[in-house]
Amino acid sequence: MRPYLAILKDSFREAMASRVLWILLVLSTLVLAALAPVGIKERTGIVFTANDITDGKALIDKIKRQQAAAPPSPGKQIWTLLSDDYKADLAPQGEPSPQASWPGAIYFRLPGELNTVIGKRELYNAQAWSGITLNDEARELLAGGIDRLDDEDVSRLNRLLLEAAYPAEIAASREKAVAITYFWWRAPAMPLAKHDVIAAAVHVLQWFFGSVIGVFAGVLVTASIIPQTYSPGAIDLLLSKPISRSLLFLTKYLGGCMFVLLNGGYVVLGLWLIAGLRWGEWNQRILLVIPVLVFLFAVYYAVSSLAGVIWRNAIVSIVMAVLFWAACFGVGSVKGLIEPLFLNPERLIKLVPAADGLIAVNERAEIFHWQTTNSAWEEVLKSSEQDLAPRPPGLILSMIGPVYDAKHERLLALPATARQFGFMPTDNALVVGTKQGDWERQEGIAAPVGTAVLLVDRQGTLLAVTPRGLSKLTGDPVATEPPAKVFGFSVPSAEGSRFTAAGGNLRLGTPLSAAIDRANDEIALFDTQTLRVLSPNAKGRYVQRASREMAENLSGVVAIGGGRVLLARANGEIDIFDSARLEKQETFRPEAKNAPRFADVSADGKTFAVLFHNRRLWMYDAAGKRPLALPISGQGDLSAASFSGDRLLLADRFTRVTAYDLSTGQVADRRRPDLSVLEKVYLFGVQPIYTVFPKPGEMSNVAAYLLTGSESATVGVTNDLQAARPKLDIWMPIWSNLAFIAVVVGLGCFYTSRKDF
Amino acid sequence: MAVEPVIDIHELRKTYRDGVFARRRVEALRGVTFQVGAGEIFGLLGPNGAGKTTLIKVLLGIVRRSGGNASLLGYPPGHRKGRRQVGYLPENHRIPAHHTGNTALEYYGGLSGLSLGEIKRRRPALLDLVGLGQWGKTSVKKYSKGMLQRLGLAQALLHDPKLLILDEPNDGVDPVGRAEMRALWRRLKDEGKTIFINSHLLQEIELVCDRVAILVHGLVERVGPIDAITAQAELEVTWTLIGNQADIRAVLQLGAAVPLAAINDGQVRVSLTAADQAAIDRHVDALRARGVSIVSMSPGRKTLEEAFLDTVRKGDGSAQGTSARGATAAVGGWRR
Repeated sequence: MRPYLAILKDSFREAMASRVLWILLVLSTLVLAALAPVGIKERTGIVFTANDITDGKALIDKIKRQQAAAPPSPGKQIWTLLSDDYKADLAPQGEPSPQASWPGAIYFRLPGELNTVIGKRELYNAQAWSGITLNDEARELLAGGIDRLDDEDVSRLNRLLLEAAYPAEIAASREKAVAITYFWWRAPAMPLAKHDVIAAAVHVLQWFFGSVIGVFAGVLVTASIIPQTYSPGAIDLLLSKPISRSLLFLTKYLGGCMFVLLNGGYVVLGLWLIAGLRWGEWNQRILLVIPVLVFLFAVYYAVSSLAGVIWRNAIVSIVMAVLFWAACFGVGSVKGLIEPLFLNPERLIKLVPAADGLIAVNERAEIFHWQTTNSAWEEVLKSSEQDLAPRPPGLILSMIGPVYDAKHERLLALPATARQFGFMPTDNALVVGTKQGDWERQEGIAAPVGTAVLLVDRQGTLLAVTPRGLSKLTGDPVATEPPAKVFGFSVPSAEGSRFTAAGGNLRLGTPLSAAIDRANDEIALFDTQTLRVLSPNAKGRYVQRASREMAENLSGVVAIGGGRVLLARANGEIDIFDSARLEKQETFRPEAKNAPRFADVSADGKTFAVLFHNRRLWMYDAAGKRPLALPISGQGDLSAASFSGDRLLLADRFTRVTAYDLSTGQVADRRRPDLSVLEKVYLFGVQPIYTVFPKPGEMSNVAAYLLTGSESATVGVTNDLQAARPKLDIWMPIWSNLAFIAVVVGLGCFYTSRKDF
Repeated sequence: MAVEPVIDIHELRKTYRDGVFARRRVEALRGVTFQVGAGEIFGLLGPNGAGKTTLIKVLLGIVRRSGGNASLLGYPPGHRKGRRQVGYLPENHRIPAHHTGNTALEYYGGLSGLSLGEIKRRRPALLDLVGLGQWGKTSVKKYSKGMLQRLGLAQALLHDPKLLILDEPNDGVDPVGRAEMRALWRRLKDEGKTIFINSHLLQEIELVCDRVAILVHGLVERVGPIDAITAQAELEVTWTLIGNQADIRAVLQLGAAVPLAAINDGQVRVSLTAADQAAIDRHVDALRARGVSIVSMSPGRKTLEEAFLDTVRKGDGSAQGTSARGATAAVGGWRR
């Protein structure tokens, strides 16, 4: 052991004697010193987002009513501060009617308008708020006088005033806002959690300075270590000592890694100290990035070392390391371009058994119907714009639904919206397609504002779940009258058809998840905080039968059936409850920290399935009260899961759907369309090469995981679980890079042990 | 009781492969046999490319042998236990530039398995011994060639090895330093260490070595004690004579081409080789019978350099003529 410790110590000495190390350390110090004045301050709820306004219509109506009335009121104060454009858009509606909805643009612009309003010192007026109870924080802020408050405190106070004035329409602020300062400069507050901002900042900084600069400098500096060790005159001396040749190579290799350990460690330690001392966040996870950096460097250095021992020339070592980087970058880029731009949008994410056929939806929110005759997916419910407009590569959209109404043999959906950006649907008209109509697209009537989920009960009634509860459709969903144009938006309608409140009368947060029990029409609802079960009464109205508050505020997906409710939440936890009292029966955590995307249950309520964002499926056998292990293929590539009778339908390989027999676990049938040229190139060329190639570039994901603790969410991703998320594969790059290092270093050891020096 | 040789080489062969597809074969050692006994100072001589360094590298396991047998301190070539007891100073060795004399000894001592405490205990005396007592804290970047050789010797001695293998140890060392080195080697020999020197400085080898081997084209042409190598097979006598030159030529059967070197007072000098003493006696009688005065007769002796050159020339000839010849037999010296 002693000889190898001597080699390691020598490497350390060599690193310390290297001028480049000190130059890099000085540069790193300068960078850290430049970062130190950055301040990240957290403020609670200054900025309004769409999620904060739980009932936009009621809020606007209230403001308008208060503005029209004589006595001073918050509404009057707000009205004076709204932009003229906005007021003009609101004006023609006249006296607000309880039924008519405002055009989408009104809701869309509301958070921005309110953000302007709360920035104004003139908002508060003691008379206007005279009858309203303020909380402690607001009273404290008011006590000193508004003039003495800084801009941020004014915004905070105003926000609290609005929350107090409109408790039913504006959610109490839970969202954090972060303000970044640099010396005297101050960036506008952003509606993000401070923790996330710091994690993102540290990730970007350490990745740039540690990986890009550090690894590059490391490769340059360490390239000479192995060639020098194996140069004539030096290697003879070493090999005459009682040491193993392989271990000499291995130890020299590890010694080279020490360089990056010193340099990267210094930068990360500095960032950790800045995060702790300046930003008040002592996050030990930041320090975990150090081994990731060293590991990343170890991949490149393995190549450099092997070249160094074979050619004994530092220049050749550098060239080989750079060529290797270029090859990895090339392979990674080809995969990284083809997959998200051209293939991921093709992935089927929803499978809806409909009228002895199968309907599928892809990530681009295109709806397909399987054609048995020519084994192909045929696009249905296609809009005329879709035919004309080119589909930009990489576009991912989500739609609400489709749901299949077996009674009327029709398909209903709320079309694509850019939900991943957190926008409310701007055009919330339903689309309808019937089997008789050969799934031709028919424009439907407008769905209630804020519709998050569409459900169909056993009678074929369409239910829309909104943050205010349930609405049900009476009449025909197909618009029979030409749509009225209001502010450029079409508002379709049909005589006698409308959505009416169907019970609940709830105030739900978003994002919402809901599911209906196919046996008894009970509905499970989850809104990040509360799990509820609603039952239809004799009059067809839904009443809450049970509810359960969750300790943590996290989004989730639900499934209900067989007297059980399954709730899978963003932290990867899956809970099984009984549907009658919502008592927790079991808890599982099959995918560690992966977030679930979809959950479903078989018609008999015996089998539950949860599909995670890492495209792995987990199943639960309700009768046996244990996870169900079916020999399904394609784990890690599954994009949709659904039940059809006694069959489980799974989509993989972008557009392939396999049906498994639930009782035997055998493949019952497969819908396999012909692969496109790109898919063939990807599946048989790019993918295999990518699999065997090391993935140093993806170590960034590992660092992101270490910083955030989540495998499938990156910072800034929406909390809507059903929206597509970039799949962060944490372990794949680790294993593939480890295997690569083992092979290359092993080759180096073999070469050095066989070579005559 | 037979004593185990420190180095025992038998029919040792090494063939390098060269060229793009390793198709060209270079025979560096073509069947070398000799032994080195404990406590000897043994010199390995040979022209450039004779295979001297290859032989050392095979013994230390730095290069693999292609055939034959060898043992180092009773262990196969390259065995770790053997290497542990060897101090090696390679030709043109390179000590990494980030070291000082002290840290270099720490590094190489550590590689030999010594603890830091032990290294620190031995280091001052050792640096004094090789004449670097004042230079321990100086970076090796500032060392001269001779100082680097001394430091190389110090690292070879640090772990108190039984056998020292020195490849061109006095390369770059000044004459005073060389004398010091020779004195040091003799002292080490007195301590019972075996020293194997590979050098092209023949005078030095002549001054310190007990035995030498001359390697030519991968074959041992001569091996034995210095005296045996430098002794002549035929008796060479240098005659200083006074008398009729025609008589002298006739008696000594000198051809017309052989010059008679004239010195003062009518003396001439000529060197001749004779088969044996009887032939010399006959020449004396005949010269006296012709009235030639014999001023002096002195028997000749070669220097090591002459013996080396003779051997190399002979080896060159035989290499060209009978390159497929097998091993040169071990001569005299050490036997099991």
